[in-house]
Amino acid sequence: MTKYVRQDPELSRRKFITAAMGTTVGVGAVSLLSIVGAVKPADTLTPEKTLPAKGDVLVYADAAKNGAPVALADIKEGQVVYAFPKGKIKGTDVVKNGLARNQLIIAKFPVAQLKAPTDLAGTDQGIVVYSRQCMHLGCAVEVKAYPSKNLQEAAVCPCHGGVYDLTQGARVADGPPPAPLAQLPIKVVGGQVVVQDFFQSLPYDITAAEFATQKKEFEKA
Amino acid sequence: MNQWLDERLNISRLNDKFLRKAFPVHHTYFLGEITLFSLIVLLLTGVFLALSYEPSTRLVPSFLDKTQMVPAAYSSILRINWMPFGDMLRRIHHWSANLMVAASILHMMRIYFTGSFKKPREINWWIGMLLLVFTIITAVTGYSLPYDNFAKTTLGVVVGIVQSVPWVGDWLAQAAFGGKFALDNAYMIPRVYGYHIMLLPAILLGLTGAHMLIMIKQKHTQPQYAKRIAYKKIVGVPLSTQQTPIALMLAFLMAGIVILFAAFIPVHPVEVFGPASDNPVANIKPDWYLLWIFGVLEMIPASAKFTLFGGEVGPEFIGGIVIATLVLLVMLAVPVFDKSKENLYYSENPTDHPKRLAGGVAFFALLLVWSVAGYKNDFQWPVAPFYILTVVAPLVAYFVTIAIVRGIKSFKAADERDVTQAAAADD
Repeated sequence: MTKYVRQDPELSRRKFITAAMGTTVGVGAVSLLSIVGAVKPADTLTPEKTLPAKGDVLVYADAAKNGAPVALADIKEGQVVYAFPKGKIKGTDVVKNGLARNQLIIAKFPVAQLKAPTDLAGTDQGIVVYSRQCMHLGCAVEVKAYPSKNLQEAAVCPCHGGVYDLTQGARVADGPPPAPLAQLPIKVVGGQVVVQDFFQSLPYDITAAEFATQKKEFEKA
Repeated sequence: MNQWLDERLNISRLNDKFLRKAFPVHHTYFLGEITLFSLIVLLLTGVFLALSYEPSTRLVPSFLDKTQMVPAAYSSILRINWMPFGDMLRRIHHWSANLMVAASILHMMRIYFTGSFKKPREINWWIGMLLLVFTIITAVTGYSLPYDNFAKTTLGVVVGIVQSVPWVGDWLAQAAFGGKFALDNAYMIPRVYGYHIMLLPAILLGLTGAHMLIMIKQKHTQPQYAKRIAYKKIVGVPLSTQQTPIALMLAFLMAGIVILFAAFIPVHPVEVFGPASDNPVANIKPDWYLLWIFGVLEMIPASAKFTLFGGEVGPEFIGGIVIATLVLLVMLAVPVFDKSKENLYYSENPTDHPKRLAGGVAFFALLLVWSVAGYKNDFQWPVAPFYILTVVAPLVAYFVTIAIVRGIKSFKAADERDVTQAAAADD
């Protein structure tokens, strides 16, 4: 071992370059943060994207029917109607068709067939309403018979085969969906189907926090 | 002129280094070339398509029916279809994409089954893997662009899968696709367009360049026949000039076949699906190379969910990301299992390595089972047989392959015995 540590003049230069590079990378990374912040646009909630709320009237989803309220005569057993909620937002009527989760399935069953976990208080004359958006990856479900699970009328997702039993709170009868379709409580008032409350569970693509904020907004208004 | 150029650009060195590169002559060595030619056809047709495509979800009067409001992207596709050879151009682009994925998978199979991924070519195996992954991502972003109902549903599922990542999924999906998924999200299609025509092709070209430079540096593995012709010598035809006409013929033949396919078999007929809407598409399936992930998504049960440190892990994350990542990791790990110290010179005969061969066959059997599971919903099949097949099919494929290889070996041995006995009897 040598007694004296040789002072290497190169070392300070290396240190300088390391520090200079570190600073450059640091400043560069910080400047990149502004881009990262900008890639995600702010969430803007337009009126037609708000959740169905109490007092909304269900109107035909079929564009040809021009937003007319769903007639009770069209809601028959063994036949579903697809609908959107229409309600007043800040004084103007809005058809809330801005998001897939607001498209609704209106199905009718003999009253005795509807069982828990369906929110029975939210059904009327056997009419039960769910969001049409699959809880798995957000495709629109179709309503059809699913004989292999003994279901006359089930909501079946064409994407990855989620099957929901509409008579039992849209419980998942088959396939991958992590949760049942969200039920929307309704009542028949004056020949129209009227929303009584918010979705009974979280629909697709909304966090509990966002759901609570929207609820609060409505209660304020 | 050669001299003039040589004095300035030193082209004789280029000639020695690259243009004299020897290509082994064997039909399986054309698979990589076909992948490259497909990429070139895709770039050329893609440029033309980009000139007429409008990346926007803004509603405009439809090109065909002015009374109907459709997304501008969809309307511009209708216009491309109406242009002279426009639909043809789209079909060539789409068919070439399918061919590129198919050829790269076959190319990879050749590399795997002949052991060509072994030292020193591990790096090129990994680059090739990245190329395959990015090719598939490019293909998916591509068929999302017409913004018909099929494309919109695909995009919705892709966004949903990204969103399902625990903790960061929501932020990730919104950053990548410009906010929450909605029909009228104005940022979404421009983002996907940017990825499809700039970011991803740049990555593909960069990786392809690296792939080929490394291939030239390390040289092809030599086919077995080269061993008999000249041991440890490079046998093949040089790129300039003998390989060039072979490659050109191959390119024209390939282009011809793609054009024939495009002329007679339509792909992605946007008018059948209609413009993007919130209505379902019946019997929707992804392109064939993603069918296995689709099948896995169908198979993972609803109960496969748990919460981990506040992050939600659900069946869509497990099916869409975890399993796919595991499969890719297995493929990436292939060269790691090989412990040879020597550099590989000759492509190996697959039957000389029965375990590797059987492993590969089992792997494809697994992907096949999962792809068939993608049709579970159409026939209302129960899920249980697919769980059993997931375990049984690869095992059966493995042992059947081993048995067949043994059979071939014993036949060969018997043949050789016969020949020697016959030779002895003649004496």
